[in-house]
Amino acid sequence: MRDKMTVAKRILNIFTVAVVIALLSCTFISKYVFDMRTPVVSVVKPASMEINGEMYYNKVIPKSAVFVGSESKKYVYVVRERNGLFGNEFYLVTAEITVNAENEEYAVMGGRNVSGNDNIVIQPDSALESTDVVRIAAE
Amino acid sequence: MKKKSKCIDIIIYAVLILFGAAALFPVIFIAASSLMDESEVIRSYVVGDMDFHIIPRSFSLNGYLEVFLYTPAYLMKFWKSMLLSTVILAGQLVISCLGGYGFAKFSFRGKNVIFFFVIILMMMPLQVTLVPNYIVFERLGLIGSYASVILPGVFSTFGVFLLTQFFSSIPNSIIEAAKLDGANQIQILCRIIVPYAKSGVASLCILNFIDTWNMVEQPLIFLKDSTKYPLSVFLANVSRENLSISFVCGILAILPVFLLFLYLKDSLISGIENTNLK
Repeated sequence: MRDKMTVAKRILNIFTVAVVIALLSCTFISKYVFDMRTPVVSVVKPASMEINGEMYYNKVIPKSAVFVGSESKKYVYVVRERNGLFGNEFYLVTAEITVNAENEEYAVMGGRNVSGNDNIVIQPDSALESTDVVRIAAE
Repeated sequence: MKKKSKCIDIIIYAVLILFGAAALFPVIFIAASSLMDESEVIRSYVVGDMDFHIIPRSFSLNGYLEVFLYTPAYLMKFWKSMLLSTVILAGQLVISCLGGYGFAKFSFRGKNVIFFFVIILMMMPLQVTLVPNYIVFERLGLIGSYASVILPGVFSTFGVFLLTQFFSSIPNSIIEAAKLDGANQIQILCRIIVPYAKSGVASLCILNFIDTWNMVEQPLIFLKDSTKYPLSVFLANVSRENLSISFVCGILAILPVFLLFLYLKDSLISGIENTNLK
């Protein structure tokens, strides 16, 4: 009877240690997998600057941030913050814009979908999609 | 006569099996649902166009992969729960053993009045103490830190009351004998009182761990930052979107309590046996 108890206790100890090791390993692995799977984006805020030596414009962004969608409409990805299940998280929203003026490097955004304080994704990856959760690259 | 008693036995066993099945049903339901495909979960429990069933029609481990491999936040919440529960349990054991020993084996002026307040505090609903605790922690600048959840748990009076009852049943002659052998109060507590009241300490461990493992109100009110919330808060906020994940998290949440019970069940049973023998 006592031997049986000892064996049961030993099995329980081994099981507990295995569970703890498995959970710890899963925590580290999932952190690594999550970092690998979450796209990293570089962002910029719209600025005020002179374009083509003519005049100062508000809402000037790098041209690389603008991409053309269906029916030749122009879009940018805006990074928004929301209160997710596990705290604040960043996600992407597609915003349609008009380009009022441009030069080789910069474009002037028009339209009301993007404000001057929004974070705009520069050089968006074609694999990105609206509502994707993203990480913002360190400057 | 023998046939009649056999019939009664069968009825008793049937009723007990029924009660056992009813008690086990939620666990079986969670375990089976955690293996269902997400669409099956939504169709069964949200949309309702599938009839109720326990055995999954389409087995899937996606929920487990999501919780254990793809999203670290679930396991991080698990470890936060574990940290909170373990620290609270350790602190509660120290406070309860010292307090229980004091109330059970020492005579001092106002002992009964203080013990009366301990019982009053124990009987107060948690919701009543939340506001005063919040005001105190805000003044101390502890709102948002884990200390605001840990401190009320550590100084909960339930453990003191429980262990006072267990320690009171220990004969004073044992303590006197230890004193004659030269043992000091801490040695008496650690080497005689606590091992003697093993079943009481085991009961306190299980009850306290379950209580803190399942707490929802305190982290919600005191921690503020949702990144600090433990697993219990996530389980309490299950919505349609994360229903299938919540079943897997349910299994994850059962695991530590189940293991703790397996470890302490012998102490509990031996304590009950000893109580019957007295």
